[in-house]
Amino acid sequence: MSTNSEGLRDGHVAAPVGSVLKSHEKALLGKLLEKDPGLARMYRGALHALHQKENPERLVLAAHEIRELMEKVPRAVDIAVKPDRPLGEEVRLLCQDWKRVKPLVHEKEGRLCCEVMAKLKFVQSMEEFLERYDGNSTSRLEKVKVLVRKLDPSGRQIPEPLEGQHARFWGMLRDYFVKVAHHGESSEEELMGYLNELENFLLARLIPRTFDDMDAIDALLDEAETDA
Amino acid sequence: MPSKDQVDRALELIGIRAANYEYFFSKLDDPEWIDPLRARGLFACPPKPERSEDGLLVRAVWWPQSQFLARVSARAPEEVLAILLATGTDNYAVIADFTEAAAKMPPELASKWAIKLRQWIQQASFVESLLVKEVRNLVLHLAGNGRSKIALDLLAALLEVLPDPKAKEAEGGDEPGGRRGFLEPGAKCDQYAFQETLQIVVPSVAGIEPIPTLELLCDLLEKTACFSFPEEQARKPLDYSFIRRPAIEDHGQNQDDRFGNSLIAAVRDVSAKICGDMPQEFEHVISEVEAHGWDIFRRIGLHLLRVSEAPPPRLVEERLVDPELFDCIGVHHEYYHLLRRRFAELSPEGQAIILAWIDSGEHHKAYLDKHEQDWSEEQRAANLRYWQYTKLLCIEKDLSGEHARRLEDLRREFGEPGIPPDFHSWMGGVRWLGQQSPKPTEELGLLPVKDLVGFLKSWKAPGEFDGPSPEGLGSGIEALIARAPEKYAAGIEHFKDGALASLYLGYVVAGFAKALENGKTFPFEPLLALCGWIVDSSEAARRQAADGPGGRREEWERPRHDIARLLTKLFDDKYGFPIGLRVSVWRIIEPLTNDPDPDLAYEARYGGENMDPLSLSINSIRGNAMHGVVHYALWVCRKNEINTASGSKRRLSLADMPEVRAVLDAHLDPGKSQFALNQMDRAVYGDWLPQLMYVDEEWVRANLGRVFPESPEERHLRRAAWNTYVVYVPQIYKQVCDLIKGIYRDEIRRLATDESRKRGYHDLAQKLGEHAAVIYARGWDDLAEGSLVDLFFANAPEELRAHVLGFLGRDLRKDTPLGDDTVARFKRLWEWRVTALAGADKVAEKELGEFGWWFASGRCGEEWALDHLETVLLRTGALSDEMGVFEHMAQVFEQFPKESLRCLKLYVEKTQNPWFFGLAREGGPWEILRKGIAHEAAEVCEASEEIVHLLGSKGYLQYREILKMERGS
Repeated sequence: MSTNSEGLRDGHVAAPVGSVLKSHEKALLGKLLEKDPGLARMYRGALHALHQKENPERLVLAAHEIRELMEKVPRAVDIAVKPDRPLGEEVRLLCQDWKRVKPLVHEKEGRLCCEVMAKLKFVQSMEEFLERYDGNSTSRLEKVKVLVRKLDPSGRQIPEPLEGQHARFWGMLRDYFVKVAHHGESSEEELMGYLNELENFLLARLIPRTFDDMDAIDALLDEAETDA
Repeated sequence: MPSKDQVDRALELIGIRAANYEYFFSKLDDPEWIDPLRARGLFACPPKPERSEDGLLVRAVWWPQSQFLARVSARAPEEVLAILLATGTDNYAVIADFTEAAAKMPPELASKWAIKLRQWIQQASFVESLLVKEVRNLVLHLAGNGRSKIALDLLAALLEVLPDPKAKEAEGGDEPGGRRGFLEPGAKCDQYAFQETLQIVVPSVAGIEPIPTLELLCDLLEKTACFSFPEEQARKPLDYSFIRRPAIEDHGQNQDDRFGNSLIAAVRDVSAKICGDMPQEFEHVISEVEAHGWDIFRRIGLHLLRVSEAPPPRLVEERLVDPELFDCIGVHHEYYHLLRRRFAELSPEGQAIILAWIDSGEHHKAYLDKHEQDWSEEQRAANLRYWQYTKLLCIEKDLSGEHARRLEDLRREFGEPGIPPDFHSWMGGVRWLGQQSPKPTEELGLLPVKDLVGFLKSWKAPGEFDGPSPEGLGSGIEALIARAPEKYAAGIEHFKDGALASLYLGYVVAGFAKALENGKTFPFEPLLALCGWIVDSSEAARRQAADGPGGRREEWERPRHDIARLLTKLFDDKYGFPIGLRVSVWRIIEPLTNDPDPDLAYEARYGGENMDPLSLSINSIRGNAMHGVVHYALWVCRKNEINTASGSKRRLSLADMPEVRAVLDAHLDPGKSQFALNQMDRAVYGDWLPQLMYVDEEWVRANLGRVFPESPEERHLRRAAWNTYVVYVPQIYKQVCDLIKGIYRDEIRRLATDESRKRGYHDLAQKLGEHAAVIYARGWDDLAEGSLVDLFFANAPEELRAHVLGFLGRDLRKDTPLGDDTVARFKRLWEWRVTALAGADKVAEKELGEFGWWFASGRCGEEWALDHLETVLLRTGALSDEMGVFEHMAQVFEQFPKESLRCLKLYVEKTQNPWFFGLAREGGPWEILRKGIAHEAAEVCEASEEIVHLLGSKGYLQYREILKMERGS
């Protein structure tokens, strides 16, 4: 049996320095390792940072790792991720294209004209920019919905309102970790709470306990019937 | 009603994954949940139907919510209806659930959904059978509960008849019924669902609303008639329905697969029911039906008048004495039967009119006039008499006096009619004519050979289509000789008769060949003498044909063919053909190797992609003779040994058989034989390459370049020999392999150019791969660069590479004994491939997936196999012989529980096969998980449980049983 990129035999995960992994952390770390060693490294890095009690930046470092983890999870479940460039960067690239085309443009009978191919190329760049801008601003929620669907082993969809709820929940977690990673105000207790939510979210999907949930559903329906 | 907390908890659970959500709604049976779930938006967004890429197919996407609503609808109709009316969807599975729900509601509520549903159906281009079934139930529910108007409206929408989409193309085509044929109207649902709806729904609805139902059906049938022709060709009343539906009653002549036939039957049955139940409505029904004007409606009217117990006599008489209907082809069958049943009920005047029409033949005059030019007066008179005969036959039971006598005269003249006279034409009844002998075989067997030949010479075939034929007689002779060859061998001289048709000689030779196969014995000399005489006579005829008119070479083809075939059997040791006849038999073989069948033109036309050269060889005279040459050489080799100078013995070689060598040399040399240019001849060398090596290795070595020529101009000849060798040779020999390794290499390199994968040798490339694999497996080659296997995998596309790995895997899977060294070579090959594929950009799923066979064989060592299976499953979930894999894994689970579970989990995660885990309830995975959950090691138990839950999350709920079993124990 080969070793993984962590330098360990497959299926074994290293504990953060100076600590013992809790069972759910161990389970999630193992699963992330299966999906993508890079994800496991980020998660382990976050846990490691949190255990550096003497490090004043540990919350920032942990949040940074978690934010990265959340960014990379879609790739691990086969979702193509487009480059998520800042708007300023996008505009800069578009300006570059325009500068290339501009010398080819001339005025003729009061109208701007240029070579057809050059014009087409710029129009294409423009279109791509607008598509990306439009996509970035409106479909982040949709992307997370796709992620939620991909995390389901069946690949089938849960009802739209619930999917939306999960997507918003994921976004809320992400926003929190981004904020902390940028030195936003937080506390260890708060960060642990958010991390715990994320861990539960991922565990429920990556290591399903389907029939336990079905037992719970049966019990709930019985309870509701008895109450009625 | 469930509490808010309970609803929250439910939503939390069902939001985790689709399996939970589907399970929740499948278990939910309390309508009290409707309102709180609706308030949370759970009934707002049904899934959209999934369309295939071309947009033509729509796949049902189930909605657990709608299934729940259908289940509880009877208990909460108002709440459910509110959701049905508020939800917009074009997902037919959801609409089917909604319709099922509506059919359980009180009719006043169900009607509201029916109105919406009708609009949806009217706009839909196709209604799936799943939905048709629910619509039917709703129609019945509404009609049975006082809502017949909306029920009929809904039914009308469902049964709407649509024009043939090809109607536009047919515009301006030939006349209907002609070469272009009819148009095919269609419906919004498939034909079976349409028919079932008519059969299930219409009788019930018609029982409640008879006349409106009949009106609806007639409208549909009229549309069917209209849409059966291009618009400009539709001319009432002619609808040609007598062709597609020869009888209104159920009859074997009707083409029941036709769309409109079920509609005709529905109109017929509903009309008949009304007429039977409400005789006062008889006239109304007839006029309603006939008002549509087409022949099919007039026929239904006539049919009703015939089958009803007491139809109004006036209606019957009006139609029977209608000159338009009397000899009308469009209504012939129904008029005929009405006349047959009701002639006696007509008034005397009516009867007289009809008899007068028959006597005068005036209705048949137009038909006879058409044939004025091509028929003689006598023929036309006979045709008129036959017409009168069929008309009188119709009323036969009611005839007396002169007309009865006339009928008997006509019956004597014409016998029984060719087809039943109530039909204008008759389909089917074809019987296999076969080949009949003029005398039974037993009777022919009693004749002495001389008399038999005399009979063969004197008998003339009557030339009837289904009468005795020379081929039938020949087959009888063949059977006779096969049964008693000695008798015919003794009298064989009688067959050497120039006046005897040569066709029979072929059957004689074939009879002796069959006798050999049947284990009969007979002296060979007379048979050889006959064959020699046939060959000499045919050669003489050929020369005569070449010299000028009068030759009959073609007539000799049959016996020459049978002799050539005999030569491919004769030398089998089990027949004991004596070596002393070597010279005699060669005298027969040699001329046949120069038979022009097939020549290059024939080969070009019928060979090539149509028939590969080897197949052509066993279906031709020269081809069989060439096979006979090799059989002969092998026979001579087996029967003779030469004493060498040293006192030892050696086998004969071609040097000892100059006659064979001369033929084999000539057919490779265009300077010596024109047939050296034929692919068929070259294929014979490929087919017998190992045997030719056995007979004379030196000759093969010396002629290898001629058997498999290298020049591009002779590529087709090389291909003929090579492809035959690769595809048809049953076993690969080391000696041959060593000799032709260079050719193997060249041909494998060509795989990359696709040339070898042409039609005609569809499995050639696969076979070539199999050869390379076998050569490696036997240790005659290795995996080094430039080896056959290396070249093959470097040049073959993935599909072929996968084929070869699967071929070896299946070989491992068989019980054939393989030595340890062979298995070790197999394993080295697999490791070599895995290493080669490790760096590939694209996962070679097919190739890797073939490891299933290897693993399932259990012959590679379990640790090695499990390790490689895991490697494969990390890259692909497409595994061959998956059941074999997991059955074997179940057997080794005790020794390798963790490894097995790792592999099983990977497979569960990756497989795209939806059926495998759905079907398995025992054996394989089931067994592994059952054992795993009961395992003493906690981690094994946990890993097994994780897989069971994973399977559950994919919807394989039956695996819950394993958990329950374990927890129960």
